[in-house]
Amino acid sequence: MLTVVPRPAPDVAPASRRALRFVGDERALVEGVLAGNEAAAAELYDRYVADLRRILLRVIGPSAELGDLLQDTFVSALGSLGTLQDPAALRGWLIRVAVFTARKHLRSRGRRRWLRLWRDEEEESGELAAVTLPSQSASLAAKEAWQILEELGVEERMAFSLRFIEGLELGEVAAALDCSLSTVKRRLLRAVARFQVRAQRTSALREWLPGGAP
Amino acid sequence: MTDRTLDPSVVGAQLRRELDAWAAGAPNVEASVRRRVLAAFRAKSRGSRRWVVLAAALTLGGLLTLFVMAQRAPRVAGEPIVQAREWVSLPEGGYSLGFTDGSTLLLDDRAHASVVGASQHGATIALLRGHLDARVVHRARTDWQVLAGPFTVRVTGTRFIVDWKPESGDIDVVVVEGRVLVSQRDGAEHSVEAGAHLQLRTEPQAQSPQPPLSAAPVAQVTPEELPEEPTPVATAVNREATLRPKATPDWRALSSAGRYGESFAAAEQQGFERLCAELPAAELLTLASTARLAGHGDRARAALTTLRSRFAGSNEAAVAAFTLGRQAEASGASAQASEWFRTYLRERPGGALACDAQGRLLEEEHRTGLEVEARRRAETYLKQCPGGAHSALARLVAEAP
Repeated sequence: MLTVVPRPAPDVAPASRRALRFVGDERALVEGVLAGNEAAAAELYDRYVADLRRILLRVIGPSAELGDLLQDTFVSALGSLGTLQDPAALRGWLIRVAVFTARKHLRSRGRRRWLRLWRDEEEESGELAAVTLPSQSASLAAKEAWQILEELGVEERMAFSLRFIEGLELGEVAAALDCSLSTVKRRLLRAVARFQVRAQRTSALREWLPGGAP
Repeated sequence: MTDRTLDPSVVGAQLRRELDAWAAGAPNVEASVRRRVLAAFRAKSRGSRRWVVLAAALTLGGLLTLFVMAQRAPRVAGEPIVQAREWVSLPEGGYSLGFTDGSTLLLDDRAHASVVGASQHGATIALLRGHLDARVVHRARTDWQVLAGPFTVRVTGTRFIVDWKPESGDIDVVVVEGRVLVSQRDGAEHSVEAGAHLQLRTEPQAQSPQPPLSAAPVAQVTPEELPEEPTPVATAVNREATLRPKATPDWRALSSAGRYGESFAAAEQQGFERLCAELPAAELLTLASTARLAGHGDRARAALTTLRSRFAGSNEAAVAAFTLGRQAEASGASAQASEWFRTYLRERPGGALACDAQGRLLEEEHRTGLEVEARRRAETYLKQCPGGAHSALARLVAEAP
């Protein structure tokens, strides 16, 4: 039954900031973060960490630096959220930030490889561990395929990883890489051509050809 | 040679399995990264706040000057104060309360509410608990507020619903028309647009003792309980008040606002199968897209398949075929996808999506090494869709030695 009460609700203690979990859509989330609301920042992290970790893993591969890259991605995203024009596009925008972070890392790793000539073996072994599939059960074909990816140019590699490993649609790959659809297709064609050539030459990859190894 | 082409989808799937296996055994760094990210966020916010305090101090003098000037300006008589009429019991349960400016509140029979203030521009309602459906008439300067525990919903002419559960600390605000601003005591504010649904949670609220029930409840406010404005007076009984059906979030509005998950939930609540059986073709397409974007591919397929059987031969049925193709493509069922794209082209050879369908077929034929078919399609594509999204690929294929 409705009852008219001549005073507002009693003034209860304000909600504990620790206990308060931010609940709201992307727009509220973005506004909360921009207003400096830590609960909103925590919610943004919790909501998207699995997606961004997976994207980084697909592009970078198994690496001890994955945690650092995840941190760089979120710190960069929280710091530049003001540039996001449409809060509804938050997820896609975060993926672009993750891809940008991954690209920077891959380029820097490529440059470091050139400097290996001047580094000692111990340092080098740690680096190599980050660029091969470490799983004991990984097949030779998988290791070979990963090696081909490592040898591709950064842009071809990222296009291939997002399209065929993560399974994004072409338009989504173009959005994540911030380039045109035609550019993505060109990069994919180059990457696929490289795989075709190696598949004919490498016995390990022949098992993935239709009909298996001859 | 064609049979011995390495399928990049196979490579991708194999590598995905390897990476997932590695991730499953890798140490979980998410909690430690979370701590570091939030520490960086706190540090940055503190730095920003220092600038805000400085800016506030610089502008304070100016604001004080403006305030003094405003106090000296002569006051102009405004519009009459918005007054509450009597609560009216509705035959279907619940109550309605009309106001002299034409605004109306509907409350369910478990709601507890009170009018605690009124002015020329609106009224202040304290919602102690329950479901409130408000329709506020927009005027030149409208200012209505709903107080619900630690939340304040501020309105400037709109229709909205507030559901407040003090026992759990949950508030739901659904805006049907216009825009509202929801604020909390800690200063956080959330703007909610038409079609959006905001859910917030705070700690469970202390329950006030139930006031005695009144046989003929009338809005009553004693003068000392009002801030400054005169007391609203109950006037004529609005017994003609009509009951609108209780508003449930509309899946169409939520979908057009990009809230696909909530839109899909609302559609499920209304009965997804019933909607598939009753909606017109265009809305059925929207429902399918909503389901797909909400991550319910099976429901999307069901809606599209129903559309094709209910509206066979229509333009929407052809679009449904194309969409089914896109779904199949995204799930890796390439052969099935191609079949749907061909279906679209058979049904609408000159349709708006024909170039896209041709391009996707070209991609697939090129990918699977069907060189003759791909070359033929590329030539057709370049004639029919010059400058289309697949032009680069089509040229590449058509000009290949």
